[in-house]
Amino acid sequence: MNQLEHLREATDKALYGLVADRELKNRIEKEMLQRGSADRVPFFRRKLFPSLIAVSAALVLCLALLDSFRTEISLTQPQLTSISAGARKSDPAGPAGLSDRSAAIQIGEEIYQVMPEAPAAIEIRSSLGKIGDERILSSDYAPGTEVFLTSQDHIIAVRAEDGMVFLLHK
Amino acid sequence: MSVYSSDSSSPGNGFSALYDRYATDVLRVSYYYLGNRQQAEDVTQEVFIKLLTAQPALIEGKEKAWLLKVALNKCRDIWKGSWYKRVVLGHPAFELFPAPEETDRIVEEQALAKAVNQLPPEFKEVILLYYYQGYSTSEIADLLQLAEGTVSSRLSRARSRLKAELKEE
Repeated sequence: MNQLEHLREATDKALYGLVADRELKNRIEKEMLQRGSADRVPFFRRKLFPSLIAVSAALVLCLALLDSFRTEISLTQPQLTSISAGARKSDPAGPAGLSDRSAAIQIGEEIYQVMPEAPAAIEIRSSLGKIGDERILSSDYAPGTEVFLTSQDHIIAVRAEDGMVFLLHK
Repeated sequence: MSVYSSDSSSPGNGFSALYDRYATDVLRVSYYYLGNRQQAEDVTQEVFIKLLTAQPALIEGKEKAWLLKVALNKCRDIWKGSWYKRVVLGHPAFELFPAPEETDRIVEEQALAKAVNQLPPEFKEVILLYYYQGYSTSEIADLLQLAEGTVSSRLSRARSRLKAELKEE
């Protein structure tokens, strides 16, 4: 293929009129100027604004996810597991010597008085209590739950529906 | 600081100097590849814009290799993208832009140029880089990211095709 050895020469002749001229150079320079001015768009419009939108969207998504997660927790929370002791007075299996639970409650040797001011007791129920390390929310109490305050400032809650007793540490 | 600037007052290795030295080679290689002057000019434009925007740190003497590499990549993309046009609507005729003076070998030279244009892209690339741009097989291998053996094999097969093509004419 001797001809191929002369491809440069052949091309120079066959494509003689095909040259990168001044016109093409001007076109490139003009295009560069246009792209350059596009690059000079203020930073907040070019980068910051879209970034802020993206970050905000991510934040909203995270909050939405957290919120649904919290709902899950609060739905499962009422399943109290740490029951200290207790039963209804009428319950034969309950601790001996349990006095009238409308006035007091006895657990083991200790007798707990009903809090004299019921609304205050409700206020206490609305605040946070603890069973072991678990935080107890007011929503954990069913309506009608009776609340007792111990001499050590512990709270005893007696659930109305089944008479179960919960010892809460304030 | 930008090495390549569209400012014509920039030093000798700037855009203007590189354009004057290599743009026609880039344009003709692209034209050989695509067979379309408009597309070849677009490729040349994009290559030099990439040079200005990417500001690659080029080793002196290797600037043309970089420009041709970028040009061939762009040609390949256009070639792949224009499959439907080429296959269904037909390939555009390879137009020549001959020198005004007629020589004895003009027909032969034009036939060669046309035959090179008709080669499949992978053969066309190696032929253009080896015979038109004067690169060695190892340089082509480096430029096209191929094994040197592959380049040699493609060159050999391309020569056979060209031989057959030119004999037919």
